[in-house]
Amino acid sequence: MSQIKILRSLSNINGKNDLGNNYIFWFFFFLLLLLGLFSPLILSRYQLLNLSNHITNIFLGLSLCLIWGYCGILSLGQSLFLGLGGYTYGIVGINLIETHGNTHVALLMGIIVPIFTAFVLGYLMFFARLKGVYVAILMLVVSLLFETFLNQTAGPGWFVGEAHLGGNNGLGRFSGVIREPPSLIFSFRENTIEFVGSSIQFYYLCFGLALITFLALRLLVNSSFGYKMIAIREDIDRTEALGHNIKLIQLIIFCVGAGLASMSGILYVSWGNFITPDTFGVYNNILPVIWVAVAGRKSLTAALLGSFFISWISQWLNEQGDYALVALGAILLSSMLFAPEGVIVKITQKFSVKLSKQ
Amino acid sequence: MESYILEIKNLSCFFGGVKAIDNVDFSVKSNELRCIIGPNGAGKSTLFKIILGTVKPKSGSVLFYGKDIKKNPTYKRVRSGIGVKFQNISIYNDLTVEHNIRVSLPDYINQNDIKSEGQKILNRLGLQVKLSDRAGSLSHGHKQWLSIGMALAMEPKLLLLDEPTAGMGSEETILTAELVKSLNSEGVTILVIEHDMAFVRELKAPITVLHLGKILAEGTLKDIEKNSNVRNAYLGNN
Repeated sequence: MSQIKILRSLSNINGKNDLGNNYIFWFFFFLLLLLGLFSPLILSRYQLLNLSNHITNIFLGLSLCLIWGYCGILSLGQSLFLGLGGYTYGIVGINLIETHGNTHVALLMGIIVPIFTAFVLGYLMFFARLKGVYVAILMLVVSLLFETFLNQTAGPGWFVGEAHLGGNNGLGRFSGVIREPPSLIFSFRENTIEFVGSSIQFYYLCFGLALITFLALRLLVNSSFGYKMIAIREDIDRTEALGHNIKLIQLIIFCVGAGLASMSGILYVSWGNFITPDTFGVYNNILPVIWVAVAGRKSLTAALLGSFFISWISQWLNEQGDYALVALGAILLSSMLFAPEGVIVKITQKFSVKLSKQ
Repeated sequence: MESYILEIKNLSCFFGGVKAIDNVDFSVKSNELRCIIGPNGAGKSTLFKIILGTVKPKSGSVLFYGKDIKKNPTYKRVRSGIGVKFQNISIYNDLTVEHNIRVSLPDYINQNDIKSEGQKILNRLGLQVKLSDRAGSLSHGHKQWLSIGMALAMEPKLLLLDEPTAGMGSEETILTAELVKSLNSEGVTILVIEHDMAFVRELKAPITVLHLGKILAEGTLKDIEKNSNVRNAYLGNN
């Protein structure tokens, strides 16, 4: 009986609250899965390094998609949690790596600290019934406060244990100290595995985590909790009048979002062994909004593809010159005009209309 | 002693200098069907909002089954048995009928029974729409009924209906009156705010008249029609 229940709730993965619940979607899904699994065999080290970096962005994109696209909470400071996760992981990692030999505590703290911060901020915002643009601005302001604070930590006094905060050079090798944040190291009894940024192991770690996160979030948005989230997005007062504790739901989802964003931060630090205060800046906070808005904020699938491909495109644009943000702005503007619900969502809709006509 | 489901005592609520509700005492018996009428700005909708907890009164108390619910947040009041249909049709236009009903059903309903429960509610309303329809594509009257259905899904003890027939044609108005009466005969206590006197006439229920935040008159439709104070309130002294 319980097995039937589990199977039934697993069928939520194919639910209606995300794009793609037909065989064509799953065909492409498995195609991408295979491509992802075998790409380390085809790609060079450098390409793999880049690919891993773009995958780390997916968690940030999904986190914004979840809170904004599904629950209606626009945050212009989602990168705050990425930065907090990265910095915490880095600081704890630097301090404990020699004595512990692994990064278990750093990883745990890197997730807990952003979630706790989200809990405090969320509690203050949602229980004060702050909504819409005020939440967005408040989040950006808090994020910029962190940027400003960390930028002035270049002096010799700014050490947390053995970790030097390093001002605008950030945590890691650019601030001229030898101790840099470690890559993720897991140990179990005698076995130790290290996930260096350019390694195949790191790529598979990111890929696996992204896959699991995506599927788990699909389960979440198609659960009864997910239906309530969407109801809150559509009409917050109505949803409260239907007997739902909207503040609690918003707070929970805000904390889950922070946890997801922190994963991006931890993986980023593990990937490059550094993090700078720019992470908390305007540019890094606007980027995820562009990924999610251009692709389609109301769909996890769209947000995942958007985060991956648009961050790829913006990197490519960066390599071409200084006009990356201008070009990204143009992409955002035209997608808002021609596909306000998101480019990927629009393409899928057109495609499914054609299919149903046949 | 008669059992009251809702008692309102010395209730006052001011918006700036405007007295929206001015020292109102009011009670509703179990299984009662009651209409609240009054000109615009009489305080009818404010009264509902105070009962639901979305507007905080300046003074006075609201008792539900004899318990003061002043400190309960809106969602707890709803869970304890107060259902509401707002003045504006507040369904989720961009979501399906199924999604609309789904978020209205109590949490203990099994996920797998949602479709059948949803269909039951549509049948109870006599609503000939599909669960998969987009709620925004329904006709005006059907939206109103769906909105009533959503309030009903939680199986409330007390149902507050704020202008359930706004914008409806005469046929739909009569059908809505039938629906309200049949819900009441099933044991749901119902308070209706309404402007449409044809609908009020159809309900054949006792009436409370609010004017400038005070109760002006109470009684049957005949009593109210004869009441000169009520005529003055609606038509002016001259």
